[in-house]
Amino acid sequence: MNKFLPIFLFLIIIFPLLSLFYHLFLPAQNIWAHLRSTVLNIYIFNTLFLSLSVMLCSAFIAVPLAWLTTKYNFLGKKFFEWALFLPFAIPSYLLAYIYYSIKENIFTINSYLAAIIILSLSLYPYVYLFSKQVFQEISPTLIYASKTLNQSELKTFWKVILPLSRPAIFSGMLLVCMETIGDFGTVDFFSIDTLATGIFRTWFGLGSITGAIQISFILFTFSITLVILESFFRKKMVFYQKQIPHSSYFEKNLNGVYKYLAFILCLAPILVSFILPLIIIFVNIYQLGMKSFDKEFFEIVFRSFKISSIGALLCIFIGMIFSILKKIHSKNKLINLNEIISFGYAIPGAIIAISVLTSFKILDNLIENTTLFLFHFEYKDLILSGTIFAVLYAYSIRFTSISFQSANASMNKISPSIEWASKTLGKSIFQTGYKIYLPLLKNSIFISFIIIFVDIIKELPATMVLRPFNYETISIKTYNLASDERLKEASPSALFIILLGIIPVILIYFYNQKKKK
Amino acid sequence: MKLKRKLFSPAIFGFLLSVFISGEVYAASENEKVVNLYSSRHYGVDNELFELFKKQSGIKVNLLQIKEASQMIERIKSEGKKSPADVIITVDIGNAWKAENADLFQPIKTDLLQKSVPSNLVEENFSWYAITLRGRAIVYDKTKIKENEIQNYEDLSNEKFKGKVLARTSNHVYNQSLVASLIQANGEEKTKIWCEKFTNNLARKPEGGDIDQMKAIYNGKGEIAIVNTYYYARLLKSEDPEDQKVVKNLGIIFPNQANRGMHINASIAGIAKYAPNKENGIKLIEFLVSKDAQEILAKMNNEYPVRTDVEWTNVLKNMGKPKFDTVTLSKVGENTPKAIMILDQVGWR
Repeated sequence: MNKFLPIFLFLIIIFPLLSLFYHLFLPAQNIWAHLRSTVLNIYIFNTLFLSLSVMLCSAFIAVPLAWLTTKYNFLGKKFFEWALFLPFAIPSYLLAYIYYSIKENIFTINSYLAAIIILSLSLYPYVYLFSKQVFQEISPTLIYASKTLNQSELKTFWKVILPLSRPAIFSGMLLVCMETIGDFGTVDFFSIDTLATGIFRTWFGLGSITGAIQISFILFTFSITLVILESFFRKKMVFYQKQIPHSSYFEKNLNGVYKYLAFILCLAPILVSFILPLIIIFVNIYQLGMKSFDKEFFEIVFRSFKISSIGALLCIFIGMIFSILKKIHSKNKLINLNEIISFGYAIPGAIIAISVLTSFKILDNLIENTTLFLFHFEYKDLILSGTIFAVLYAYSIRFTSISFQSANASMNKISPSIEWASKTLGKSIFQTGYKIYLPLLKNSIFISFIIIFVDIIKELPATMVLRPFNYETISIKTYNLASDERLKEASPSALFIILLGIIPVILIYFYNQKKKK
Repeated sequence: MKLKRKLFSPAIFGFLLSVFISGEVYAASENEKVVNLYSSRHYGVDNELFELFKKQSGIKVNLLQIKEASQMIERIKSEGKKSPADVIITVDIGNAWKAENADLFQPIKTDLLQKSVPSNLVEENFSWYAITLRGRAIVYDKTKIKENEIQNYEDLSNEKFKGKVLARTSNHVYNQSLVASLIQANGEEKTKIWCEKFTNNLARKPEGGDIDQMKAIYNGKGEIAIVNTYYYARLLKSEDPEDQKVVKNLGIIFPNQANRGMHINASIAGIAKYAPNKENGIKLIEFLVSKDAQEILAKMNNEYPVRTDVEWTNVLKNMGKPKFDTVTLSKVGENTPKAIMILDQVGWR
């Protein structure tokens, strides 16, 4: 049983992706010759350039801020601790639309630079959250040791803290990278041709879905390389935490100029990527009046809230099982295959939607034939296709990687001696998982919940293609209006995307407060 | 005891979750007259029309809106014979061609439909009927460009406009269809040369949407732009002083009036091949091309009605009465892949 459960779950997640593989062996007519001779190099170069720049840029913003708000005390620190995560609630395409409307009137800027800035500003919270989590868990004794050796604070950070937190920071950067290579809205708006825009151009314009899926396998390869790189880095350093310490007992007070500097440093990203857009949205709503907030509007808001909560819980459930099993059976080669579920995140939502359509078609046929054979009963309707299950399935394929990554990052810090102890006491694997790992992973569960919840709130293509009738979500409403160049009318729903995104951020803040007490 | 309670809470949680999900799945199975509509139009006006339709006919429109027609087609294809789709609406003739190619429609012919929609706006096998039209026009800065300087799309490749022309990216279907219609009118060779020169004339790398191009003219970044008629009409009608500033010095040109006419594109509606509520579907399409519905579409979304007996709104009238190019229309879908290849080759991003 223990051996088969992970394989079974793994197959469920991987099944739709396998249906894509079959496209690899189909001829895509003359498309590749055309792409190679014209745009393919540009696609690849832009994708690499953009994702690397955005990755570095967001780490550059996030890591120092995470360190600053973890280890130092200064004006507004308590506020910044969670507020720095707020920009995450704004979808990057929305940020692009908002800033574009300003840019048109105020300044001229290179479109690459604009896209890098906008993507970094909306994606840095991934890195911030992961680094913050790991900083809080680093034992103060290490810092004391460094101090005893007369090392400066900066040197301690470089030589002790950063190497220790590298896996977690890299996990965050990996998510940023995958978000960037999968982004369509922002890059399309700035007309930067990436593999993601190429996928759609090939599919919608050239009319070749096979070609489009083949291009998305280039993205796939790209992220496989990244994941392998990451696990390589991780393997090189094994580091176990003996106890999970409290961060608050060595916060340092900042004085003088540094106090204000820290304040400004923290405020700047929030101001640019959250407060200012929010003000613009409020001004739009003010000009528009309150008529858009009717009953139907709040039904849509509630629906988005519901589906995002369910989806996030589902992804966490699957991610946890994978990561616990991975920890327990670390010697089992099959289990390591589970890493593959991480790749779901690197496949554009629209392509995942196709894979779900295909696999649900197969499943529907299977169910129909079975019932026909066993009970001589014929269904009139489709059982699975076009239901909410399709949407949830797509979410679990795409977002499980987040909970899996996050749980793994925490898991790697748990000493195996804990598990050995549990084994010695004659506990089963599930008891160990439930009693030992689950409580230790609480923090990472919370964090994955926020990320996945907000990601689903913002998710567009898979929801759009797979949803049932009359199933509008807040992000579809926003996108439809914004892409019809009605930014003003899109503002009320945009506001609620942001508000819904803030809820879990506030929740985690109170959770942390409670823990500190 | 404690352990029991701990096991109990996940159980409750799981139960609630499944109730929640099943509530979502099987919520809408009431016994009422319905029509299932798959639409790639994403305009608010459509929902108002469906409300009106329900009031008039008692039939509820179940809407599934998927903005990219190719994705919508993929979904209907994968649903196969059991697809609940009754009516399929797409924007852009190219997409209509794709749906037709995927064999998603069944022909319909009713007296009312024949009377309402001119025959050049109906698919030759009666697979679909056009419901609204929009044109791809040229706008220009009245202070810098003379009224007669541009008459055809072909003129935009003239070297004297170097660094003055604005357009959105060619990832957008509006531009792809325009180039596809040029291929039909002038042939591949000539169109490629045109695209090359046009791309050379661009004032900047394409970015933003159609309205952004008009704003760019206002901001002095260019003098000529290709935009859809309803965006221009929207600015004309807008009460926002910012929009009025933008549109004040803009003139509009309906291209190719002396020859084939302005490139238009249509939203189309057809009955799905395996429609379970075919009769209701036909009623919906008939309603969409009725006088009432056509007037609302023109008024709210500034699109051109397909009916000849519907009076245009003042905004549309003031823009002038263009001649439409209905000849190249049917070939747009077929030519789009060729158009993309040319666009890739000449580097119109």
